[in-house]
Amino acid sequence: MTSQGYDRGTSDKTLFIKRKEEDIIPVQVYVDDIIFGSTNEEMCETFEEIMKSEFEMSMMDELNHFLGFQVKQLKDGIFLN
Amino acid sequence: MDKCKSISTPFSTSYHLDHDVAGNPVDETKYKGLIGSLLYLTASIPDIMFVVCMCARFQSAPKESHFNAAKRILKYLQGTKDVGLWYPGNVSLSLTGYSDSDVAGYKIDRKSTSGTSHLLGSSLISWQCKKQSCVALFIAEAEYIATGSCCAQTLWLRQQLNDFGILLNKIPILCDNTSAISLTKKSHYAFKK
Repeated sequence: MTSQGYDRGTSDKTLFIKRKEEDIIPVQVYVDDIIFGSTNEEMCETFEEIMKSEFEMSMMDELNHFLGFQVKQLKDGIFLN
Repeated sequence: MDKCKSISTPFSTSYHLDHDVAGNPVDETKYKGLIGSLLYLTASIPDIMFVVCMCARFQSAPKESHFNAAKRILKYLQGTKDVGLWYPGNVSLSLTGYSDSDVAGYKIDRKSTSGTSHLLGSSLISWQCKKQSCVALFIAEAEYIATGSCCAQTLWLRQQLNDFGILLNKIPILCDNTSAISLTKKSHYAFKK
């Protein structure tokens, strides 16, 4: 990850963040689960490409579930349940 | 219990659980089974963590009072099926920490329980409810310990936000005990004897 320009979190070592001008893409890894999001969709796609070329993995699309939580992403916010 | 009445809090604030030696005994296996199921639920419903563990302290020789407390959790779950945390977009990012504590709330070892929470903007991002590890002798001491753990969490959150590029230099921590607040200001006076 770090060779791709990602900075590792200082207190949370499983958090990786990459910045490009005004845009940011945080990537949170939890064992075999990864969530990521970005202010720029292009950065998401690039990350997807890198991960797919490096590892054998499937993309799950928009986040609905993480660590047993239901996540609903709405226009004006995020609902966690 | 699937058609039970709902209740908005998982635990009563007006009474405290103890061994209740004189109470009516209940089936130990049934009680342990209930605790086991609730413990499984804590993975996806973390807000009941403290109360479930509270009930789990009385797994040997459980009495009716303990069983009622455990059933209250089920009522709480019934009432909170459709609620969750809401994280709205476009809010100001200001972090505030809150801390509170009771004094010798757990009558068996007379330890106090601290509670802390952190709000980022208007949304809850971190909370804690934990029996303190040492016996506080007065209110201010118990509150001071609670504020201390709130402060530790605040520092971690600040570091974490820093990674996201959000620099916060002044993070208020709120505590409702004036003596504890003055203890934090004059640390050289703290517990002199």
